Amino acid sequence: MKQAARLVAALGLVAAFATVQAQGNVEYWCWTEHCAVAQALKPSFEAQNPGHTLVITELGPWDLHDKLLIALASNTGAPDVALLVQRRFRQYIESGRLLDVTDDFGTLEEEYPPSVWEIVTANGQIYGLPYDQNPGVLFYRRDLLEQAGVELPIETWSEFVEIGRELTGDGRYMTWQFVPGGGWGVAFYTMFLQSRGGNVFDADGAVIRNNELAADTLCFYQSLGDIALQTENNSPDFFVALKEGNLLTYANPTWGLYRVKQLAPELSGTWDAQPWPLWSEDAEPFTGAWGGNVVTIPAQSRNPVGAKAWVEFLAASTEGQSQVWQVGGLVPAYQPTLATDAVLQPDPFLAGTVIYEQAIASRTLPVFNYFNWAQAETIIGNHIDRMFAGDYATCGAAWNAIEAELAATFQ
Amino acid sequence: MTQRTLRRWAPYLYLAPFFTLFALFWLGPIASSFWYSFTSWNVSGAAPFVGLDNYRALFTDPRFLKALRNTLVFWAFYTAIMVSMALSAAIVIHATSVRFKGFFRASIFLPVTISMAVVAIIFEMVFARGTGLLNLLLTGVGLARVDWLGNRDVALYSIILVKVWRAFGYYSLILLAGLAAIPKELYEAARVDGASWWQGVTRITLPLLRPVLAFVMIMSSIWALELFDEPYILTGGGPADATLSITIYLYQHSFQFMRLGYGSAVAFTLTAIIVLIAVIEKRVVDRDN
Repeated sequence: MKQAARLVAALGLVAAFATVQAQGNVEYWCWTEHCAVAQALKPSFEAQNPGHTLVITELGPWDLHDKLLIALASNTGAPDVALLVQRRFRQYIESGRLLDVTDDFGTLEEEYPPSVWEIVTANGQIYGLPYDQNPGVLFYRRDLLEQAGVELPIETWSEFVEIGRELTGDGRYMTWQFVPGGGWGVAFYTMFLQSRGGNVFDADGAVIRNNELAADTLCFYQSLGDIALQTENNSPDFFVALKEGNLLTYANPTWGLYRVKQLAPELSGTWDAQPWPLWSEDAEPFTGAWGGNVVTIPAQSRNPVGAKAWVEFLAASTEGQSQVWQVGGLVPAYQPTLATDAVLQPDPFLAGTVIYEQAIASRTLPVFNYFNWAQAETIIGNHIDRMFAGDYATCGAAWNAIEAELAATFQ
Repeated sequence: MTQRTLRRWAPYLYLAPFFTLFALFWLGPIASSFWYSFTSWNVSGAAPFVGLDNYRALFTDPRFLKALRNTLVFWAFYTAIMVSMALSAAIVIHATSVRFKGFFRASIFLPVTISMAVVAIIFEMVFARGTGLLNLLLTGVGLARVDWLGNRDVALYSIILVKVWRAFGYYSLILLAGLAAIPKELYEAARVDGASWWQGVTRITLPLLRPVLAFVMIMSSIWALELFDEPYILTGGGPADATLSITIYLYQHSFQFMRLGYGSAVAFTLTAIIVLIAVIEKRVVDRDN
């Protein structure tokens, strides 16, 4: 009896210790380069927040989203902080299982561009902080375009297509396009749509009907097929074209450059960056986003104090956000960071160009409404694939089909 | 408690831990999922009861019907090709005239041990439109390139190729074990009676291998109907749902669209299809026996 009592007491002590330990831990779920950012910040965060220990759990990005969904649905097992992609974030807000941080972070609104702040808010409440923004940039082979006598920078998309028609051929391509694309293809298409100030859903989540801008953008996207290397995502054809100098431009956010640097380091000094071309000479200086992430706190967090401290340190401090740029290769969402030396470093791969100053600062990201985006992306991606397969007589007919299915699905 | 009572209950007590865990972690979630299939649960707290709405919606959703068609086509072609190849390989390797049996057994089993991530990289290089190995071979002999993963008419068969490559070694070894159990004296007696090699295969090998073949057919059918990894990684279910399987459809609705109630209905519908096909196959085999 005494032994049993001692055993129960010991178990109780262990459980109590584990609970206290858990309350001092801040478990953060992230993936690849974002975990590298967290690792770089961990010593400084812990020094500035004694009693809190950052525990970094690296998962594959979609594995993370799936596991978080299960944790939220079952109300157990969620981390203290999770990194999520912006375009899926609204669905997680609608789960009702994220911590409302309006009182903690409401005063930070002015520090972020409206396009990314919008994503973390719903019905006037705030459910996270923007982590990065992914404005599109036009990276290009400066040496090859100069050799071809192209006047740089390329000012408009019609100019881009014209140049592409002259230079594409004999295995050389002006750009790259995901065909068949699925979700990846939709992300590329919506970059163009967003950069025209367009949307698929309105601010209330209703499908925009008779969406001429979206239809016209789809037609433009289709026309790119004449000058684009069309491959699936991660196709070896892309790597080969890149390394053999048969890809003249790469329209992508800065993570695209990170990819080029990894795959073709020997091309250092031959690439450069310019702002996203305009849609006409007097068009708004917009660009489109591809990707972008937010950090959020599940309501079941066992250490909400530590979680809020980490979120603020990571996403609302120049120290945290500088690492997002330097280690992660992503444009910080927290605007004060954009004026720091960390972001204004010349990039040796681009022969000393300061990407932010030269290619990003002159453009803004308009608001893009991501509602039910996982399902919308699937619908749009299928129709775009069918358009490229020749199922539709015109690109306009393809957009009409997209609009009809979206409206029927989300009425 | 008397010794007699203890002896009577002892077997159940030994089995109790397993069945307790089985009930908690297997039966419980299945029952719970079955309940959720009659609700419109979407992660947020409430799970409103909707009766058979999910099942009705399933069979009127063109995407589900497409996934069903793709899965059944995949199953039919995959099972036929894979079983034929596995049986042929097993018969050839088992032949007494073949040397280095160990090497061949290891070689055909190797794809089974490779992770899907590596398989995806390998086959992206094989299937790539411009620089892929298959298209280099085709253009080398003057034929046109094929868009193995991007053409809707071809993509599903490309996935079949990958799956057969991955799996036939595993089933070959199972069939090899079955062949090894057939007494050699039967073949010797048949030779004495003047039977040819082919008659040996059709009159001795296949009939005596039937139970093992039945196992291979049923197991490969179950795995075929649960198709997920290969199309998800190589094509994402595209192009335009050409390789969309029921499990990918289930995954999309449950985890991406957050329709967990509907996803549960898909899961149980798939289970019913798998059980139906397995029962039919078993009955066909038993009837022939």
